[in-house]
Amino acid sequence: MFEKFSRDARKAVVTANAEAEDRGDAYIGSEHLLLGVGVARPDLATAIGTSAEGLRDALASLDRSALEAAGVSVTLEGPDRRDVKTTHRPFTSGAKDVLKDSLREMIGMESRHIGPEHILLALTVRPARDPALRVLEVLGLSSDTIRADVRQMMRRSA
Amino acid sequence: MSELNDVIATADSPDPADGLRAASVLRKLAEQIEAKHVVAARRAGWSWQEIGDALGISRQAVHKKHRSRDV
Repeated sequence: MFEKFSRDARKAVVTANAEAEDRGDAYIGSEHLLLGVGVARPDLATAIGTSAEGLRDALASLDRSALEAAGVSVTLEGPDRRDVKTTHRPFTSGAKDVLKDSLREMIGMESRHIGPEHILLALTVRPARDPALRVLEVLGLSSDTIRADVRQMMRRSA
Repeated sequence: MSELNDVIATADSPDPADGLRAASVLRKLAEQIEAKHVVAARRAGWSWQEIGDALGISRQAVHKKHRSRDV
């Protein structure tokens, strides 16, 4: 599957693993793919109205809200670098679905390679409970608007 | 819950005995929170895959761990 990924799309996936690593997460979820896209292609993040840092902060704020909801008030620090496994983390089922759907988006947009744009489009069609959608919700970004922004950006650079 | 409040108050205590106990109790707490909310999620109609994605573990692993609790 990855043979159809552009260099930037592969960078997005590798970055997703690195972002998970920085957070001390033992898996790559759709939320990390979203971060990966934002870091690999800052212009895409800007086009939809955020930034790599904005996406990171939004995910961190989900962590904080979740802890508060559970009645826990401690500050979560990042992992000790010595404990961090710099290996490839497994994808969640949701993340695998995003990667599969990015191929569909590529075909739908009649592109020749899967780029970060297609990964982002695939993220917008996730079912309601998907973690990446919760990150976008924190930022007030709707799937429909993101799709429109991404398409517009792709038309301009076509 | 008072045990939890004691844990939070000592999470930064200079005594390693307290800090280590905090780590141990928080692990227990995490397991309890997970179990409670897996049940709640299933009641609310979440699939095992959705639960796995939220926890960052595979559908198979979460099902195996929690299927005896299933509604």
